[in-house]
Amino acid sequence: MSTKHSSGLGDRFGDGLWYVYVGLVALFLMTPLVSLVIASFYDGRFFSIVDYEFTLNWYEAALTSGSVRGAFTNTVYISVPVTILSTIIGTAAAIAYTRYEFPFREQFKLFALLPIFFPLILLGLGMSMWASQINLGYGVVPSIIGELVWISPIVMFVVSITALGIDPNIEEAAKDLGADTVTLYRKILLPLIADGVVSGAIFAFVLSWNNYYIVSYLSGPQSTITTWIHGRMTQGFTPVVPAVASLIFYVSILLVIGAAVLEYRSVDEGE
Amino acid sequence: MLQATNLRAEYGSLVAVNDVDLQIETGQFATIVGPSGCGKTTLLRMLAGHQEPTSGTVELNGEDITYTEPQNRPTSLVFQSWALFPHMTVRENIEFPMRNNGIEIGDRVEELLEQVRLDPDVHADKQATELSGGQKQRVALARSLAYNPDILLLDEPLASLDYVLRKRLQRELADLNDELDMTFIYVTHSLESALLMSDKLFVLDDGDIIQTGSPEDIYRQPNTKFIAEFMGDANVFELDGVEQKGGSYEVQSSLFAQTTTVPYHHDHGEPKYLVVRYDDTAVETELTEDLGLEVDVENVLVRGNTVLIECGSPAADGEYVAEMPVDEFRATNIEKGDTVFLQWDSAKSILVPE
Repeated sequence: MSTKHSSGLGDRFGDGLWYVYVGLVALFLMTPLVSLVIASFYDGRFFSIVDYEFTLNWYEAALTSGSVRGAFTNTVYISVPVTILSTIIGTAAAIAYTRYEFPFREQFKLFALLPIFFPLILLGLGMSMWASQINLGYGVVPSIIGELVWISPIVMFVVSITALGIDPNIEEAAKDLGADTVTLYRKILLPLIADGVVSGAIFAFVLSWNNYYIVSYLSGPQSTITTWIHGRMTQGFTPVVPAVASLIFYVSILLVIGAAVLEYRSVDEGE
Repeated sequence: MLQATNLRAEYGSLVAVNDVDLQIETGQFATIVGPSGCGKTTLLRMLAGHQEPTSGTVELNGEDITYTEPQNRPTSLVFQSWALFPHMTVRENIEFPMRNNGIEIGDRVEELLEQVRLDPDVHADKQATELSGGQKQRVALARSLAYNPDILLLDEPLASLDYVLRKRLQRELADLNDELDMTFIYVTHSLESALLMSDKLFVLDDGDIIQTGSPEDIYRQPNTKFIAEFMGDANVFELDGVEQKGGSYEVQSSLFAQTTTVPYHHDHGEPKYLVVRYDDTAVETELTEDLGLEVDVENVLVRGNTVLIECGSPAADGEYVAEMPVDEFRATNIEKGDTVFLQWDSAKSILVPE
């Protein structure tokens, strides 16, 4: 970047151009989300910028609608167990991968991370076929299992980043100083990866909360927020949709900000 | 007394430590010295219990501890990276081994910090990550001493510190070893550390202990050419002919201007090389000592109060170096490009076998 040595006029022009470019990219990326939020407060059936009027009616309608509430409840019933279980599975896998030596360790990592790189729509399709083969059926529990397959590796990935930053001799040092395995985990290893685990859990919740493809195949008759929105979009749009979509977005953005704060805090701490 | 017998470590087909025997008396400062990859860290890890030997035994005061877990072994390892717990304060780091071993804490943290020359009022409640390299080293040491191990193992903990600090800590380690009735085993590739601190030296090369003894003995009479070169800046000459004459050998080389007799009290076979340390040699325009060779001065480098004179021999490909005090060298009026005699008192020569 030219920002480091901005002395001449040409450089300042270059800097200006650079900021304009960054601003345009940000605008391009944010416009859909911002328009969604603006639309959710628009008083009218079909959105128009020209005669905009503010209202909270659609939020009220969203929060009082039985079907929306049902979809929210189902989403929470899926996201909360997925967050807890994927955090446990992903953290255990991350500790195994980063802190232990075992045969085929690199192959284990590739295999464990494979679901992340598989197209979600195909992953969902495969799961749906398999679920009927083994008589698992469709609903909240199959959705939880399906999401775990995709989200646990992501938690593993996030926790691994923190765990790889820890001095490779730390476990041996702890044992050398008389720590048994329980003490090693409770006093040393888990506290050191705690920030990574919390970030991983937040990621897990956000990904589960926003997930459409897997639940669309596995939730069956139970609608979640994302499948509810998709249903409304295809069979009768109502202005409640932007309000519901914005609600999902608010929850996600709060958690993402939380994760970012944690990330910065651990960077500040140095090690 | 710590005794290792036939200690062996293999990684697949690679033999890292090859049936090593070592014996270290209680309270000794022993150093295992050798180049990178010679197996010294593997050997130390087997003594600490972090690695199981392929075969052989480790005994401490007669008790077999070969397979004792590190947490149940009266040894403590100070890591090269120090491995302080970054989420804890200095105090918590030091209390950690005491809590694990059920030792009463009391004023022990303060005592230990004073022992490693850190002011407890200033440092005890700092976060481990706030310390400088030298301070971390001291805290790591205090933490290892905290539960009174019988043996303190040190894996080059001074390697990453700057020269002045390293010198000071080396001295302090040696003092600490005198103060405490504790065996220190130090592993290093640095000859300087090995000579300065140790009572006993083990030279390790390629998984084998190739010489054991006091630093002085090994410096004076290295067993092999490798040790001679490793132990200090030295010129090595291959000999063309040797002839035993009582306790001495008459040695010849086509490079040398003279034939001379050098004492050799050794049972490692016939000498093959003559070694002379840089600082035992000088350059002169005339041959005045009883051993020397003609060389061309290729470079003159000032190293503090001495000068390194790099020379090449027209008769061989060899590179030889003389080290002289600056004043003495100036007095010779020798310059780069001159043809001179690199020479020394033949009694300063060291003969070594292969």
